[in-house]
Amino acid sequence: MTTDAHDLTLLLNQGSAGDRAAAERAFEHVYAKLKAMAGGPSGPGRSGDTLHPTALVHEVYGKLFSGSPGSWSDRRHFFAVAAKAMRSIVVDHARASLAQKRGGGWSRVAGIELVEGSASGGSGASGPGLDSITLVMLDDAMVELAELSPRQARVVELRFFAGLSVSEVAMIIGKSDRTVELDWRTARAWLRTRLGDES
Amino acid sequence: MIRERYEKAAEIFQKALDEPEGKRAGFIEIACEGDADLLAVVRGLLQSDSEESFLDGSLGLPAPAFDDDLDRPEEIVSIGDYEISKVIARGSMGIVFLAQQANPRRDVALKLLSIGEDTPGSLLAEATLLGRLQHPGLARIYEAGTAIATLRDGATAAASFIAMEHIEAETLAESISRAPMKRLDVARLLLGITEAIEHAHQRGVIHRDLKPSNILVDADGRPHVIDFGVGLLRDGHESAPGTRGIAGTIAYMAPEQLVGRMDQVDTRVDIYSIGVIAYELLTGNAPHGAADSIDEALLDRIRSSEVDTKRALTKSAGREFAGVVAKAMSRDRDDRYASAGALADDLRCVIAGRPTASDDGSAFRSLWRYALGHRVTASLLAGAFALCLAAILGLALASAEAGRSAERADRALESARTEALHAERIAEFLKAAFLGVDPEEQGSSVTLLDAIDYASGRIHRDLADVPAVEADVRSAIGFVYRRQGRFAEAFEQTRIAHRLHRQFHGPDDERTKGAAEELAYLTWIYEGDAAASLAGLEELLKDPDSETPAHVGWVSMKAGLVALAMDDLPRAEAHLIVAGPKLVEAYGEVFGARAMRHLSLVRLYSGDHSEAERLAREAVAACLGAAEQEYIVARCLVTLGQVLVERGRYDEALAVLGEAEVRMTALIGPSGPDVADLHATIAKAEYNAGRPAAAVERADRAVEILRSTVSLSHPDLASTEAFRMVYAATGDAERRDRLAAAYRTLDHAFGPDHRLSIEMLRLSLEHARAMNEDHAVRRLGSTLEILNERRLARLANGAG
Repeated sequence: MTTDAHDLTLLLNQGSAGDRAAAERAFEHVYAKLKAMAGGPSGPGRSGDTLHPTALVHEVYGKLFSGSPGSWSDRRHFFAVAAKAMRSIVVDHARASLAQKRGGGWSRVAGIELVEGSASGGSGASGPGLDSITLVMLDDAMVELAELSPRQARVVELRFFAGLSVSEVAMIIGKSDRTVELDWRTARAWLRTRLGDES
Repeated sequence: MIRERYEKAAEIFQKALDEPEGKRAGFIEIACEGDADLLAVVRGLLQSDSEESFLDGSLGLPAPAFDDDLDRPEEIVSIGDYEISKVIARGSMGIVFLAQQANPRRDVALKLLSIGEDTPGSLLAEATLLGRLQHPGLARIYEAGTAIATLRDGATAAASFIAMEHIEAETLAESISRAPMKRLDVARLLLGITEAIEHAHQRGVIHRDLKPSNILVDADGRPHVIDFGVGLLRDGHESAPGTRGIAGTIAYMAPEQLVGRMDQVDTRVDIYSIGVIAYELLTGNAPHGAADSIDEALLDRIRSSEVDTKRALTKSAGREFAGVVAKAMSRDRDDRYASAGALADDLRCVIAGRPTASDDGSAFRSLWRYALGHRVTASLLAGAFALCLAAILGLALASAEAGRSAERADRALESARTEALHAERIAEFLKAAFLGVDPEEQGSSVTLLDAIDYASGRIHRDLADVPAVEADVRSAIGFVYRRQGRFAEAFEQTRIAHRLHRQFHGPDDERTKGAAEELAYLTWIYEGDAAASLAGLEELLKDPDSETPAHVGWVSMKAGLVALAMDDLPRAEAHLIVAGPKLVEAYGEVFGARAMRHLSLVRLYSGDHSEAERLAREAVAACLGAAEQEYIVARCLVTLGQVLVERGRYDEALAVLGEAEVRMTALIGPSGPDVADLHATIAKAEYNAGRPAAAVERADRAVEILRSTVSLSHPDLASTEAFRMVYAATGDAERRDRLAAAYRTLDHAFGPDHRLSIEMLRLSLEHARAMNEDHAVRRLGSTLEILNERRLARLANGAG
């Protein structure tokens, strides 16, 4: 295991044991790594203008823990942090690009019109592309969801932002596949309603 | 929505999913038990679930399109693995951050090369090369590359950076501006820089942008060159020279670099830059004037003018050192040192006091072009040289005498042979020195001081195999240099002489002690370190073996003078009271005037003005008319002038000082440290008599003389400059600012309760009173009161 990975493992373990500072450092580290690797026009997890979180997160994992598959708890902690980090990267970017386009004075109502206007053509071969506004709204809704059901919010984070499979998510949160599947469908349905409500 | 309601809705929704699709609507109606709101929520969830694969499938998110033109480097919070703490420096090349690297965890200096721009791939290759440089004088380069910079507002951009070793130190540019450096410290610092550069040159890396702001000096005074090769990285990727990034560094660039001859840029451009840095360290000024920006006139000066480097430097650096710097910064690169190693060798010679390669025989003739304008009168020169000769021969004879009195005859014979050999070598050496300055060959402007310069340059070459002779000759030459006000050279020669005497004769030998005395005295008059000087002199006085009246007299005299400069009046008085009678005992009545003159000043600064005047007049009378005492008469007149200025009798003072000036300049010419003292006193009298313009003119002359005689860090230079600054103020606001600045300078140079600091504070108070600045008057008044009390307490303690 590289020293990089070793340090990260320590931080991840401390973080999951409740050490907030360690958790933050681990987060910053993974965040930076993901971001750097998402950077290049042809970096891993990226094809053209589309980012594939699954590929990216796995790539970063492979890079950080290169040479060793990493322990089960490494994987668990890493993906939990990576999912949060990916969410931040994607959403921060979306917010920044909205702020840039409209000088920060973007109104929510106007935004939704734009979503609807572009949603039909939004799904290409690469899947349901979400534009900046949808991502920002989704993130807001996720904050609410985390209050209603923290576990469901985590499932969405891992499934959607880190692109993990149901089984991987189940492993990480320590629940059965079925529980994860149900959490996922519930959360997804609620988020859809929530976003729909606003329009 | 509250949590319980959501959980309830979620539970019903999940159970409904287990039902066949057709039965779900009925199921949820029953499950919600008539709660219409809950039913609506669950219905909504089922509806959404069936509608589309929201958030599902192969996930593709819009990739962050990294923002361009995010030129806000201050707002960067992280770059790749590096977390930014703060900005350390802003230079022409960009911004430097203090950053924490995550792995390995360490502080680094992170230099941002570009943001929002693509970085050429060759940068990484260059960085690999730079990473190979490992030398204590070079800041390590850990990594160079491109990573994502995140700004405070979450925006991101690609950033190219270099991560370097972080060294807690200030830049040389900062330390130059704070305090001038001593000559040998300059040589040592330059050697450190040159060795680091040599290491890099040997590995094929040229710095190309050496300048004081690229050199860090740590707490131990060791240099660390930073931004190594950044110039190369930059130049390699910039379209043309003379564009962005060059301003501010132009003064340090070699001419071939300035005219854009990139094909001619080799390791010698760094040697040129080291030369320019040396020049600035030695003189306090860049050789081509201040250069904050590209200016055509400056370019012309650098490209074409023949800067007489050696001449400009000789006074502050000594001839050898000046020669080294001049060679390093030759306009034509072929005239420079061929390698950093060769320059380092010569710097080592300068430090060790050996002749340098820059000073080979062929360079001798060119020396005359640079010969100093130290044209002193023939009689004094003859005297100086006779003194030199007598000192050398006298020392040789003294040791021959010691040889004869040795107990055993064979040892005496052996000793006599050695001495005879030594005498022969001295004679040969003097002959060579005289022939070297033959006016028929060198022109009639050759002075005997030139001969001494020439001789001192040959000492090592001619006498290295007879260290005892080398030591004697250096002692004698050092003494002559000191009497000529050539303190830097005197210090250098005496230092080596002292070391050699000590090695050869042991610490208790008279010759070693004689050199130690000179060295201790020069530690004050040249280096300006009064405390160290006084400690050295007092150490010599403790020695019971050397109690001849002459020795005790002179050492006590010097100690008294240094204590006087420190404003330690009781100590000065104690030494001078011893010195007077001893000198009288050794040399006759007339020598008492020397101690009396200084005692007068002790009384003056103690506040006893009338006693001071009495002593000063007595000192003048004691030596006036005595044979061969003209010079001391002039000095006693200066002292009387000082007393009269303090007593407020300015016109009377100016008359006395005018008389002193006539006598002094007739004897030693227009320069010399004593003349500086004279000018400074006249300046004060003129200023107080309401003639600031005349005062400034005099102060200028004093400063000019001191600059060429004493070390640039000498407190006397600082105080003379401080007073000059006050005299030169025009307008009340400017005067106020300058008084404050001058006070800070004096406080720094001497301490707050030194008489000069207090005098400046009193001038500030008078000014504030005249301006009716009540607040300042109160503040300054109380500070003055406290410091006066402190000074009096200090003097009283010293006396007890």
